[in-house]
Amino acid sequence: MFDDALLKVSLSRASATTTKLFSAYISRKQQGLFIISSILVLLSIAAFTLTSVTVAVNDYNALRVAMSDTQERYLDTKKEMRFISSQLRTQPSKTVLSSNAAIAHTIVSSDYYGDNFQPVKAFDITLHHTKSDTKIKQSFLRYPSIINVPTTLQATAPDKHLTQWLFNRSESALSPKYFPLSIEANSCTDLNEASMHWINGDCELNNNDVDHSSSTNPMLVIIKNGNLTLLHGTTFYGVIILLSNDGTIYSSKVEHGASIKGALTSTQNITLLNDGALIFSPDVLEALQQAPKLAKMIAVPGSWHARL
Amino acid sequence: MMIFLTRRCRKNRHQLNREHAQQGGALIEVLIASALFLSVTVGMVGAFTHTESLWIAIYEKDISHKSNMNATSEQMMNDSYDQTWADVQNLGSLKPIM
Repeated sequence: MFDDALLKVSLSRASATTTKLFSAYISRKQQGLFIISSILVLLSIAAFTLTSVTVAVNDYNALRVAMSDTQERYLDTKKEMRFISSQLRTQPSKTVLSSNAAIAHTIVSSDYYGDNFQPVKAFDITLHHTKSDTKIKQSFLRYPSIINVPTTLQATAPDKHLTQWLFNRSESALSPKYFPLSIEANSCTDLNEASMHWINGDCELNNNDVDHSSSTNPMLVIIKNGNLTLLHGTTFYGVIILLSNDGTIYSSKVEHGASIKGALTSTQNITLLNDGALIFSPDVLEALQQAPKLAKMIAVPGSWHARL
Repeated sequence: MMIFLTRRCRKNRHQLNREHAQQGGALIEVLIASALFLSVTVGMVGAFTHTESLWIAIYEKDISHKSNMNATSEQMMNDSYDQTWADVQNLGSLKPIM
């Protein structure tokens, strides 16, 4: 009997221990689940934040790409405007070419003249970029480099303000860069075909050098600090200007059989040795003033209009 | 009596085995949690690296694009020849040709 009782007590204790162990297990399991849940929540928050940042960065990238495309198209349109205006400087509006197939252009022109009958042409250029529906408009003026042609007096006597009258520049401020497509050289040997030559030093012209000039296609030659010699049999059409800033009196020699049709002018006193012909020709001067290669194109301030 | 004792012993052994099995289950749970934590962490680090590289690429492209645009705009601002609006004003008042 006693043994039975002892055994029962032992068994009941073992059962109680097992129950305690089971309770402890359940408690630990709940703690583990809580920890796992907490980790999952934290990870979810971190993942959500990171995903949001990634999406935001991707959206920003898409926005940047769209903005870049718009800016590039706008710049393309501006480039096209410049390209067309540069063409209009020397050629009629009907022959203007387009460099970008996506941009359509419209040109409206009107003619004006200045106080001394200088030819001026106004252009209203409208461009339309079909891909981005960008529309820009700008007005330009085409005017001559030679703002005023030399007078009869300037063709016979030096004038200190000659460059101011002709080009709206003082003698010191005048440079080859004033003229579009000017050719600068140190001598007149084998002159290339051009409407304007800037020579630093002596200039000896023969007929081969100027055979491309004519009464309808005259030339402008500026000689800085140099002597001029027009060799026998040379016919020059246009204007020759002698500039001097070193105090030297330079000479201008026109040999027998040579001629200058247009004007020979200077800012300082020169020694003129004329055995040929100096013919002041207003027609040649007018043709030179109207020469397309000597024309300039300027944007009218405040005329820029863009619709994006 | 012996039968009773045998049953009790079996029951106790079963409970002890169950205790060991519970400890093993906890270990698996810890392993699953670790794996989950590691995989999510690796994923997040990967996403972070990707986002950072994307951001750097966007930034560099933006800088390059802006410098190109500025260079082109600056180039367009300069004329190839010297001219001012005062030259046009020097022509006098412009009259239209009818």
